[in-house]
Formats: sequence, structure tokens, C-alpha cells
Amino acid sequence: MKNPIHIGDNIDTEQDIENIFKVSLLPLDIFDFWERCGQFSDFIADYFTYNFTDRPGCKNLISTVINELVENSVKYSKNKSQPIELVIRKRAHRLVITITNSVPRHQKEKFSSICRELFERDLDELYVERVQAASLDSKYSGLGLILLKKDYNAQLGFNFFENDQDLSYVTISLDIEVG
Amino acid sequence: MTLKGDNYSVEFIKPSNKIVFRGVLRLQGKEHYQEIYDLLIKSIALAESVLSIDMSKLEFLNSSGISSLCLFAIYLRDVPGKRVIITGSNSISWQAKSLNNLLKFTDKIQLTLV
Repeated sequence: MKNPIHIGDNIDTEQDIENIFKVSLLPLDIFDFWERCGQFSDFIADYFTYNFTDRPGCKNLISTVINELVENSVKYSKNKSQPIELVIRKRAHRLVITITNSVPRHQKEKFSSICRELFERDLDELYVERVQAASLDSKYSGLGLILLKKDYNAQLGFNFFENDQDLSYVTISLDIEVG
Repeated sequence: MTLKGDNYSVEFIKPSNKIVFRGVLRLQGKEHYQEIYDLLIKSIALAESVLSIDMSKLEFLNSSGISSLCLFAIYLRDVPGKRVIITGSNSISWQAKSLNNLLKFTDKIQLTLV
């Protein structure tokens, strides 16, 4: 792993983890058949609902969070034929989710500055600003990530890095209370 | 006037000045919501002073869809003499957590979560 850049919260993915679910997804398979994203998110939500039977509404919440993260990774993967790696860990009343995808090298700086703003700006102001900007330019806005942090009170961390072949990646880590 | 997809419908019921969203809306991006946005614009033009929007049967709406609703809220600012009442459900997480974002764009929307 070369040239690592960390932005945001430090998410612990090791301590007190009770179970782990890992999956690789090809962005192209979802990009071309978009409904798979929602179906996959519903499946993950069903899978973890058994761990949160005392938390009504958790299925809807888990599905929403997974869907936003997978949509984000699929849309902004540099190489749609290179797998997205998704890992979901359960800890007590929380889920700790990491998702890794390739990043276009020339957009790495732009992505990282968008991520930094999540920790430097008032999120309500940032949301309004980004919605208004997105009405003019529908390129990457990070609106889903703002909602996860602002409305779902999720902890978020971003790790940008390069592999031995100098390809750029980002891992988004999210820690969220379920229920 | 009704839009239907595989998993959703959006229906404008003119006699009652009401739009009802049903199902699951997770379209691929903002441009895919254009048709629904256009229905909202037509409906507010045809509605009398108040347009009601019932979201309580919409199980999911992704962030692209929420952005499109926010753009409708921005549009509303410049529509004279019209208001919108949105009804949502507290038991659906995206509604309980994110619907109130619409209120940041205009004071012409009233939100009720039941």
C-alpha cells in the first residue's frame, strides 16, 4: 500500500466483532442491471435483521445504508470490471462497514477534497450547497455520504492508497448504530 | 396522471390535489428522476392552493431521489400562491431521518410524520 491518505474518523474494525460478512461485486454487473443494487442491499438487511430482532425498523435502515454505499462505489469506480470489496462487521448494536473501489487517479484530489469538507463544514450548509450545485452539474457530489453522516449520525473514514501497480483506491469505513 | 416502474408508482389525483408515491424508488441517478420531477412540476401547476404529497407508502428513496425532491423544493420558492403538505412515516428510516431536509430549501413545505 503506497501513498496512504486518511481523512475523517478512525474506525475500529477489529475489537468485539461478533460476525463478518464479505463479498466482492463487479461494478459493471450492477451498473448494467441497476435493480441488483437494491436487491443486494435488501438481502444484506435481511441477513443482519436476525441479529437485531429487538430493533424494529432496522431492516429499512440497513438496506438504505448499504444501498447508498454500493451505489456510490459503483458509480465512481474507475474500472467497472474491477471488483468492489464490501465487508460488514457486527458489533453489539452497531454495524461497521468497509467498501473499497478503484478511483480515477486524476480525480483523487477532487474526491479527497470533497471528503475533507465533510469534516470541516457545517453539514446542513454543505448539503444545501451541493444540492444546488448538482442541479447544474450532476458529476460527483457525495450527497449520499453527506446524508449518511448528517442524518444517520454515522462515523465515516476515508483511506486513499495506491497498490504496487500504482492504481488508486479508496476504502470508505462507516460505523453506524442500528435500530 | 400516473408514472409506473417495476417497483414504484407516482400518481397525481387531480380532484383531491394529491400525489401518492408507492413502492421502492432507487433509480440510477438524478437524470433518471427527471420524469418524476416533471410530474411534480405539472402537479403543482394544476393543483389549487395546496398540493398534498403522500410518501408514507414509499419504502425506499435513494439520495438521488431525495436530491430531486430538494430541487422541487427550490422550484417551489418561485411559485406564487402554492404550498405543499408532505405526509411521511416515522417507521421508514429514510423518511424519519431525511425528509426534513426539504424544509431547508423553502418555507412553503409543511411536513407531517406519523
